[in-house]
Amino acid sequence: MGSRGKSFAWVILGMTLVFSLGAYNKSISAGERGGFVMNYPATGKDAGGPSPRALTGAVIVTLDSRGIIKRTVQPHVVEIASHVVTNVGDTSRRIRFKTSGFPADTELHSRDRAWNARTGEIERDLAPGAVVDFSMTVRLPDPLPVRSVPVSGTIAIIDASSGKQLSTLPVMFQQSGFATAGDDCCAP
Amino acid sequence: MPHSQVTGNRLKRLSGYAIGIVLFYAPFALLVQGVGMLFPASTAGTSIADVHGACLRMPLGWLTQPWMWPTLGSSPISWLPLAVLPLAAIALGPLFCGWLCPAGALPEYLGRIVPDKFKFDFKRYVDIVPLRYGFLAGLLLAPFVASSITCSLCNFGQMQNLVGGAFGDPSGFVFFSSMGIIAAVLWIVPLGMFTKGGRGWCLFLCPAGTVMGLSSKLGARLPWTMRVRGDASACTGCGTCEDVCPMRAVDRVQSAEPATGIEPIEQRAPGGHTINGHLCIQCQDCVSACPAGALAYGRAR
Repeated sequence: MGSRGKSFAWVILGMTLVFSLGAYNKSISAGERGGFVMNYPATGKDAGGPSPRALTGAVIVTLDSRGIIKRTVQPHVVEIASHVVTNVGDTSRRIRFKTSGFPADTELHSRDRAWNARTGEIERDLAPGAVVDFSMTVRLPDPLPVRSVPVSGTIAIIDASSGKQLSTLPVMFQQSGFATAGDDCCAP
Repeated sequence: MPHSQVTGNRLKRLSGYAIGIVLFYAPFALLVQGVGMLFPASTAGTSIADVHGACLRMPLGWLTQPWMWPTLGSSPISWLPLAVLPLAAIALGPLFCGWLCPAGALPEYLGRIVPDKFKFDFKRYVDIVPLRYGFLAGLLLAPFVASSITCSLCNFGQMQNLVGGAFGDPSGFVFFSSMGIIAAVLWIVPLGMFTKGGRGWCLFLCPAGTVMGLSSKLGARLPWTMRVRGDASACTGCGTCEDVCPMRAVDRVQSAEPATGIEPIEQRAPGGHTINGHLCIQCQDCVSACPAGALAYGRAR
C-alpha cells in the first residue's frame, strides 16, 4: 500500500472510531439524558419535545437503555436539558421555570447570566426570538420501583410578571415493568 | 540550560492558560459575557455565561447540518471557531491552543508527574495527521451515520465543571453521563497523563484544534505569517526539540529520507528535524529548549 493509501486508511480508521462512539452514544443517551426544545407562549404539541426538529410534546427517558457506566456510577440521576427555550411570542417577557410531579429531589439550573437559582427565574427581559438555556436533574427513587406508578412530571414556563402559565412539557421515565400510563395498571 | 528555559516557557504558558480561564470559563467568562452584552440575547449562545457560550465544537458540527445554518449565521459567537480562530491561526499559528486553552493544557501539565517510560507515544505507532483528520471528518459526519458526539465528548465542558467546582459552583458534578465519564477519563488519563506530550485529546478529539492546525498549515506559506521556524544550518540534530514537543510535531529526518504522503515539511535540515505544520501549536517549548538557538518564532526569512 502506498503512502496515500496508508493515509487514507488512517482517515477511515479515525472516522470509524468516531462513528462507533456515536453509535454507542445513540444506544444509551435516551436512558441518561432527556433533550428537548421548548417554545413559549405555546400550548399542546408546540410546548416542546425531545428533538430539535420535531416538537412532539413530551420527553420520554427510557431508563433501560442507560449505559453500563451510568448504571454503575450514578443510576438514579437523570438530566433533562435544553439549550433552546425560545420566546415565540411577539412581546418581551420575564419567565420563571417551575416543575411539578417529580420526586422531591429535582434541581433546576440555567447557564444564563441572569439566572436566579433560588426563584428559578431568568431575571431579564426576553425579547421575541430570545433563546435561553435550561436543565434540571431528577433523582429517581432508590431503589427504582418495579411495577409501580411511573415517575413523571411536568416542566412549566411561567410569566414572572403575571404568574400565567405560558407553556408546559411533560416528562416520563420508562422502564421494563414500570407502568407509564399514570397508574400501576401493570401491577400484579 | 535548556531545561530551565523550557520550564520558564511552560510557566509563561501557564499564565496564558490562567487568562484563558478568565476569558472563557465561569464564574469569569469575560469574553463570553462581553460578546453577550454586545449582541443582546437574540440567538442561542449569547446569553450563556460560561464556556458553552463560546462553544468551539458545536458550530463546526453545524457546518454539515443545514437545519442549523440559520443558528450558525445569526449567532455571533459561532464565528469564534469558524472565522476568528482559524484566521488568527493563519496569521500567527494556533496560539490559542498553545497559550490560551486550559482544557488542552491541563492533561499536558498533569502528565509531567508521570515518568515517560509509562507513556504511549502515538507518533511511534500511528500516522497522526491523517488519523486526526479522520476524527474531524467523523465528528462532522457522525450525526448522519450514528449520532453526534460533539457535545458528549467535550473536554471544554469538563474543564468548566472543574473550574466551576474550584470556584464554589458544584453544579457540574450533580449529573454524570456514561459518555461524560468516558470523555473525562480519556481526556485526563490515557490521552493525557499517559500519552507522551500529554495532548492526545488535542491530537485527535478536538475539532477546533484540528481546524486551526489546518489553517496554520495553509497559512504557513505566506511570507508575513508568524510561525516557529528553524535555521537548518544551526541545527545539530540533538533531538531536544522532539523530546519536549507536547504535540509530537517534531520529527527527526534522515538525510536521504524523501518527503512523503501528506506529511508537511516546514523546514528541513539533513540529519536534523522538521516541524509538522498540521500539529504545531506554537507553544515554543522547542524554541526555548533548543541548545543551538536554531529555532525562533517569527516571519519567514
